[in-house]
Amino acid sequence: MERYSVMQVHPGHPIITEEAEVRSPYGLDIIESCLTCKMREDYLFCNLSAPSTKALEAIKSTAAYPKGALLFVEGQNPRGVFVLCHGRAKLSTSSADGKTIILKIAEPGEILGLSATVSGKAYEVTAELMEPSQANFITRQDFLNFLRDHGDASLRVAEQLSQNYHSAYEEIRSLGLSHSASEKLAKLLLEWAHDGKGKASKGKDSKGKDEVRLTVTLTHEEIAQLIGTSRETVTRALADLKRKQLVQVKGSTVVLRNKAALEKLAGS
Amino acid sequence: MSHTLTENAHTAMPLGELFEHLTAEALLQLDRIAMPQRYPVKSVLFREGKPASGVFLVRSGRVKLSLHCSHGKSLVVQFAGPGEPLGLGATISARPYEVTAEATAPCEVCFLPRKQFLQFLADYPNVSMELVKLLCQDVDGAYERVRSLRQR
Repeated sequence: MERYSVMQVHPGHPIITEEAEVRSPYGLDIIESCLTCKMREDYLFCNLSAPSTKALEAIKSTAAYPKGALLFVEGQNPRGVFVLCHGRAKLSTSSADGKTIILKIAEPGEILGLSATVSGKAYEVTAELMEPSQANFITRQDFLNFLRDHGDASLRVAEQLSQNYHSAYEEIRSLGLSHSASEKLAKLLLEWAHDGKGKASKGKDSKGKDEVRLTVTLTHEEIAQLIGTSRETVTRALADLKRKQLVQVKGSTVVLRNKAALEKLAGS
Repeated sequence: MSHTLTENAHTAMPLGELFEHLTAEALLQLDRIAMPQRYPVKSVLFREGKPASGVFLVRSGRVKLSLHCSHGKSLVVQFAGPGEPLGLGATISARPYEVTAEATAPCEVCFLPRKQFLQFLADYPNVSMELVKLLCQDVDGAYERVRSLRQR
């Protein structure tokens, strides 16, 4: 366990000090209090009744983390949950043959380590931050008591769980039949274009045709882990899409030049 | 012949993890909103993609849960039996049902309409806690499935 203790949060010893207000850690705009958080209403879990928010405020401890920090590691005993306030986290697991599989990329407002904390079984994924992030930690016992005392919070958690369930089933649906890597990649790009979340923007190309621009901060290796293939295959599939003039890549920007053709390829 | 929840709480028809710790009062309330239904073999309780109208608590029999993959093939995800509530996630989050539920043996089911079920959860918060536990298991099961499909 000690191996992973580097980024562990110690309740009562917040990493953020007064000094940090002046020099904000990792350039983050730290949200100190849930009570005054402007994002609260937009986040599924955080949009709680006033008494519940107050109770949550009393049990959470806030911390800022650098990119690459591990909130928890697959197989560890559950210490509690992390509510992601800022930043994104990669939830991954390793397959029997030692490959890394990314199950999900978590967005702000999500609770990480939920299922392990509720069941008391080991964390079944590793949560690695993909950018400097803020997360609020709540110890297992505090969180369970909180859910028991606050029915509205339980319902929020239940809603997040059904969303996770939904996305897992979406994935099962698309995995149920084998697809080529190009198909899966096209599907992934379309998904990103669809749910937006700051990654997509619409524009027009030089000839006035509609196009979608995506900012992709994932490496080919990470995309491979998301769609269950190898790094080489992703590179090849992307080159294939470029050759067919379906996408254009400029640095971390991917332009979807022909959404209709991509949709056809993805079989949706 | 339809069985009420109260008279069967301790018989061969388990209420399942979600409702087994209910107080007598809560159980009576649940009984008031529950609509007993019977399904013959091969009949469909609910269909994937249809708006969730409520939760189906299986009292007896067996139900096959399956979903349609991208190209029309159907994939069986689970078989459910007595005591298992079906359509929970979809009902809570007002989404369409994720799967199709089909009786593979004659079933007795209690249907809990969405609105009344949500009100019941608001009235009895400790049920919500059990609900969270159950949903965690469902999510774990679904991720497990993703894992095994990815490895093929």
